[in-house]
Amino acid sequence: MVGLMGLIIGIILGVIFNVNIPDQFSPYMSVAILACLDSVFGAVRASLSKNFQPDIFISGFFGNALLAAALAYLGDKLGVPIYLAAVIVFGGRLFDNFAIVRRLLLEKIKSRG
Amino acid sequence: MKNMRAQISVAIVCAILGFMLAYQFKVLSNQENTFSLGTTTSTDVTIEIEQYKKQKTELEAKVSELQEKVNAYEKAAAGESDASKALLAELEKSRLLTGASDVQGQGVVIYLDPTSDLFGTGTGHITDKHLVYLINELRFAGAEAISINDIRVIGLTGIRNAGNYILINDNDKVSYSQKITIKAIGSKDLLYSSLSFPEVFSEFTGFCDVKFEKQDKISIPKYTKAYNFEYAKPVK
Repeated sequence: MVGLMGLIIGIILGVIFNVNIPDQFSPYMSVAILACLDSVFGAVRASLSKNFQPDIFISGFFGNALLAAALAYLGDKLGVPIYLAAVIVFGGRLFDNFAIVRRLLLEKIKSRG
Repeated sequence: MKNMRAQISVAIVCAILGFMLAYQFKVLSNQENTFSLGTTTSTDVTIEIEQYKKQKTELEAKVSELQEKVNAYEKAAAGESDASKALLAELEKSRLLTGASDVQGQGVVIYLDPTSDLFGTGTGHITDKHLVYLINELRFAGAEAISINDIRVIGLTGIRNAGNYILINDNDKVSYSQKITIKAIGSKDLLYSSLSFPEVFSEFTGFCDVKFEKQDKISIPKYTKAYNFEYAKPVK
């Protein structure tokens, strides 16, 4: 719940403020966003299975984002699309977490009703 | 207390995520607006270029046809009186001196052959400064007409680097990774001896083979752009 509110506030801030990050960083931003989404989904799943630990979440969030951006940058310099590895792994984890969250929610609904 | 901190940090992190998402969407939608080439593809651009090339050759043919007509009219007009004949001769001479007519005569031809380097970029390549330097040397040695890859070089010619090519006369390009031929009409002995000084080509030998020879019959085409002074007006 807090997370959702934070998300909405963040989106509003992003729309209002005209930040000028140089355009060359924009592909790295995309991969970092994917890493962040994966972290958030992992956090949702952890909180549903009562395993949530905020320091793991936050360190995972920033660490994964930085690592993904660094990998994309390295891949650019070497000419090998290494960012694909980040995309596949984070996308895969996203779907895995989402499947677990789905099961947990369905079990919760079944156990209530 | 710990719960409060955890919740606040989660909120901050989600705010960052939301901010990044919104920013990224904004940037991408801005890019799509400015980069309006989205609907055309590379094949469209290639087809357009082919069309323009064909148009250009057709127009050039038309220009030379009209020029011949003008010449015929001039001769007809000049046939009337001696004064007109003298005027026509004067006109022909001006055309010769300004580079608006094809010329031929003795002179030298310089061949610049870029050496294929094993390591790719190597020590450099021919730039606009090299060509300007050579033309200066030739002019100083008395060259009356100069052409680079059959592009006439006149007093108003500008030579400039542009990406992978060297632009001459605004429209014509010379690629520095292929052979460049510089022709100059003048006294062939004078031109040849002034090019034979050792330091003339000292900067070229690193990345291209230089060869020059005297020739007796060099023909140089005319300057093809339309001559027009927009800003300089004669002083009365």
